[in-house]
Amino acid sequence: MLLETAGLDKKFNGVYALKQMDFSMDSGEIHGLVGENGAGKSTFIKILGGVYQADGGSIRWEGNPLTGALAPEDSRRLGINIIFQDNVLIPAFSGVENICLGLPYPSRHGLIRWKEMERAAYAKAEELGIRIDLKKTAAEMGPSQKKCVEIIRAMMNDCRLLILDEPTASLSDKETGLLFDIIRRLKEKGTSVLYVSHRLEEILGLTDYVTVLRNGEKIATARTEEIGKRELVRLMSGDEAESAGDARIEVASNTAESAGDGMTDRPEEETGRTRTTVEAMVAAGQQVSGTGNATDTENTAPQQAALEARDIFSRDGIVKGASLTAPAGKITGIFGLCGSGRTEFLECIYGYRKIRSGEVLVNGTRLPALSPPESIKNGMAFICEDRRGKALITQFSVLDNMMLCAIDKYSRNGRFQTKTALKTAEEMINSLKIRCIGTGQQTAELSGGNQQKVVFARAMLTEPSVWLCDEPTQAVDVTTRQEIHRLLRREAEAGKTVIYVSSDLAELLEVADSIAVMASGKIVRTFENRNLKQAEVLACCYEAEREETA
Amino acid sequence: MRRFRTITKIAAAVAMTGVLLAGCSTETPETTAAATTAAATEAATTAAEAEAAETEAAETEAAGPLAGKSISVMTPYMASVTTNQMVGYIEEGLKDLGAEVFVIDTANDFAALASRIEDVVSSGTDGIVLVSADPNQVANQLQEAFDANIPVFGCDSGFIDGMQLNATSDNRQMGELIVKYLFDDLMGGKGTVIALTHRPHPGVVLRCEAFDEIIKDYPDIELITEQHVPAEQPINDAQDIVANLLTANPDKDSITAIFAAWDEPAIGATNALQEAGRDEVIVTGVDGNEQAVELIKEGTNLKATVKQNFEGMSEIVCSEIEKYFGGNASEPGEQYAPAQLITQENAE
Amino acid sequence: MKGHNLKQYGTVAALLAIVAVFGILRPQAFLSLRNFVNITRQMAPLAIVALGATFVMTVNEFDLSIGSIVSLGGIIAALLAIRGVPVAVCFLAAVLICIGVGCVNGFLIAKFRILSFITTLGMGTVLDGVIYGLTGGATIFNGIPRSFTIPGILRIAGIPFITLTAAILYLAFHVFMSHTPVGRKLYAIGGNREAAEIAGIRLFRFRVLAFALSGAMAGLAGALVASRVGSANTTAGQGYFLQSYAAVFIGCTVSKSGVPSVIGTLIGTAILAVMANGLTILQMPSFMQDIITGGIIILAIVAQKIGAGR
Repeated sequence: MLLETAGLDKKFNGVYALKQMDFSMDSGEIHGLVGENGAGKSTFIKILGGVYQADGGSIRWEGNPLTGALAPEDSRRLGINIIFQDNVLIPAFSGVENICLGLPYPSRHGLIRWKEMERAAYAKAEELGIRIDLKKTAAEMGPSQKKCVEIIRAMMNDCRLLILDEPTASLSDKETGLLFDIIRRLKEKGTSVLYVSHRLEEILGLTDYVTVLRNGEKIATARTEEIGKRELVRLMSGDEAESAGDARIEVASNTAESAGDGMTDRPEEETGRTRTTVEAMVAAGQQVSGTGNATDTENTAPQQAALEARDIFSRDGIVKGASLTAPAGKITGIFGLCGSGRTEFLECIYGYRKIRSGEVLVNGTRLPALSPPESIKNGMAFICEDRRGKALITQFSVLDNMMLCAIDKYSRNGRFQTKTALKTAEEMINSLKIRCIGTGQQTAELSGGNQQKVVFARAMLTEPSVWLCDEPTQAVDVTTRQEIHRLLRREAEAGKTVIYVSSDLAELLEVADSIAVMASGKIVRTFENRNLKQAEVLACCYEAEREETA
Repeated sequence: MRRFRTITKIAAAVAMTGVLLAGCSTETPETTAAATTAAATEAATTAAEAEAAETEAAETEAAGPLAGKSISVMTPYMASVTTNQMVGYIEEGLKDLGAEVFVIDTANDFAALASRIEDVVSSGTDGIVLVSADPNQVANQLQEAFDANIPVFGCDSGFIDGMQLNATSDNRQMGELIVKYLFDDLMGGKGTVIALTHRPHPGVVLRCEAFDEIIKDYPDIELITEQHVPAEQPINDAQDIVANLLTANPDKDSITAIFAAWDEPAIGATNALQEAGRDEVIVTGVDGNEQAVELIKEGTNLKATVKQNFEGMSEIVCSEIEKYFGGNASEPGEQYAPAQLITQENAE
Repeated sequence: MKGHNLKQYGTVAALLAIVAVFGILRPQAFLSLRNFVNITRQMAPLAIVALGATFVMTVNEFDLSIGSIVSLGGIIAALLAIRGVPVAVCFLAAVLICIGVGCVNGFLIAKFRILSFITTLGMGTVLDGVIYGLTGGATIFNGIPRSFTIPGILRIAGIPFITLTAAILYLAFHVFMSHTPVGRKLYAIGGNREAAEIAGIRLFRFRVLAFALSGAMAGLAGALVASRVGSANTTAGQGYFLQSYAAVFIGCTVSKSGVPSVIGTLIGTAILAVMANGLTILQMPSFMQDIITGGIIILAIVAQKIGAGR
């Protein structure tokens, strides 16, 4: 065995983040690690990387027990390298220098020999079959190039075990394919890979073994070929989201009743909680809105808050004449390949990205200018792709993040109504099942899924009539994903407009009523989501791209 | 830029006060008095009074006329040699008279000076001596002192209504003395002159005004430029400024003289002239600080300065404080200690 | 990485433009070798202080005590000189003590993870107190021997010793920051602390190093200034604090990625020094000098932002 751990424990503030972790993997093995957010995946890999010290248990490396605390450099000396979800590159450094970071710099008379460094970096890139310009600075690179740089860096010092944490979160399908080729090549060379991902298809397609974590404990390890997606989901979530595979059926069902019916195999208590979740979410939203919202509940007919975007051209030339009509009461999906401008289009509508021409109409009224404050005034809520970077102020508390857009609403005579706000925030935490110590906890300490819930809670407090969601379930666990889908469905049923941008076509087919296909900065076609096949949509995408290049 | 500096300093001062308050119990009486805030006013005042009464009763005869009085000597310019001397004289003189003396320096920071004045007023000091600081810049804080019947004495400061006294050299007269000597005796009534000034200082500005007035009467004397010299490191800055001005006026005799409104820039100017080998340029200063007098003696470009009678001013302040508490205060106003012109002949 | 430091020439162009303007307005006075030497000598102390600030900014921290350290360096050197200590020893002692101060700064910040802003603000105040305690608030000049002023006024082949010192330091530290492992590690820490930590760079050691170097430069500059004027003023350093950061910030605009660099800081310092020199030569009133210099600093940074945006 290359790596064996026995009874690893790690506690934070007295709570087990990882408990009695027994794990083993062999050389040349690709091992998947799955679990919901907060299941202990990151804790485990950070212990292996020497970032955290285990409170108890033992680690054996090639049969030899490791004694004493494992520091990051010890871990790397053994040949363990971690590539984290967030890029850890020095922006101002070139690819070459980033690759060589952490190695002793090649030097003569104390001066760095840049040529030698360059040769080494390019040689390794060549060996791995990666062809990118390593002289560019990290700041100038795209996400997949950065990922490649990190992989080359990891392979620079005789890497025995490469740990990848959600490596595909920011990559397109094609780039993901390239990454998999690289990983398989590593395996051939005898390097082991521990692959952490939410994307079960990737786990099933790539790995030899898979280990499932839940609430800090290992639930199972199995040969990947002997386990199905359904089984994985069941193991990951316990009973709660067993029906994930049937998500489409469940989410599309029109009432809370039938949503409950879909979960009959669940203990009574659990079912009850799920139902209240959905109802409480809506209730919380309404409670905040007070009297003004009375009409919403009465009049749930469509056509209430339709959004229309006409001929949007962005100033940077990424969006080139995109138009979209999103009716109230529906979830309108936008699908596009990487680089099609789907995120940018959404940002244009919200006014975050500057436009050169085009207009946006809410309920048939043209917005005089596009800017985030104007959009919020007109009832838009924007859930953006880059959760840590743009949505959350991670060092703020859960409460402060939730109140960010609603500070004015909770102020009377210039005083912020702390008590009311606290109460509302607590209700939100309960109704969205946000796992946190309390309203005062820093959001940086929450897991990805729970952070996303905070983002949604904030949006709900502004009582939006138009939801603009960009990859809202990116890197969140299965249960949260379900909850987000349900939440948006309820919002649509309450007469709101929902625009749902995703690079995951399967997800869109689950959740959207219609799917607009975007290619080369334009909406090329809109499909009604009835008996729609993935192949049809994809064909349309590739067709449009081909036309564009021709 | 200077504004930012002030803000930073205020922040530093606030931080410092915090530290002091936290460490109050272990501090010496001097700092404690400085850091006592308005919050502690009542208690402090009562305590101080009680204590004062006690000591007075016990030691009046033994400890001199100012026994039991606490006097705050405050200045923003302690780094200046002359201010430092004056503070020393006053501290000594008042202690000899039996008073308790607190010296407070705010390192060029008027905002901090204002705060410290508020502090000593609320801690119930018996008197304030303001050294080398323009009272107009802290007029509001001084008004609090006036309202609390705390007498304010100036030393080389300036005079505003409500104060008891400002003992000073007549800066105006000093300015006239040196400018006339420069123009008549050293320049012979014609030529070009550069002025190095610092008008925010209350004494220095009067000298500058004397210069402004008198130069009008000399049509053959031309002012090349006036440059402001910052107070943090006047020698170094004046040296740079003059070096640059020499570059701008490279011909011999293109500059006849440099008038410096106090001695430190005069020293800097002299350094620059010596470095450039411009022996013909005349420099004068005001104040008579030792380094300047040394340069005059050596026969450098620095030809003359006016020695302020700092000791005399300090004596005036001390004797007026004694009179005030003895019940026979003089009429409020300015009192002058006579100044003396220093040239190579009488330099010592 | 080689050569990347000078990818953006905007700031250099600005410096040349300023030189050109002064050159056209006052060709004889401004564009002379003598004035060039003059400028380099005048900028030398600021350049040395700003070099120290560059190290600290490289690791993404601030040293607000830098002005007080300059004052302290001058005071220590002067006090020792009065006691008859040889000049070289005076300088060495001043630099060593200031390195000590820097180490304390760095230790507190790196060990307890306190914001450098607050730590050094406190340290600056502490130092002001120490200086006051050492001097009673007075400028030190009585009894300073002639020999002490030699480093300040000495010229070697017509070039002031202060200028030479600054030039050597800049050359050495440019190589140090750009071409030695230690320098690159400082950049790595400033660029992405997490990444640096994961890459096995010892944060503690290098952050302390940055502050120690900052202290060393400030102390040396203080001693040099004291030597030049033949006296040590207790507030001499105050003027250098904001100026040095202005120089580093202008310098950041030199590199494409907006990180501090030794060459950038040199250019930043040069802009400030040329402005002061040129405007005085034009015999511009002091208030106008402040307005124009401040305006140019803001312009430089705005221009870079606009340039980087597109």
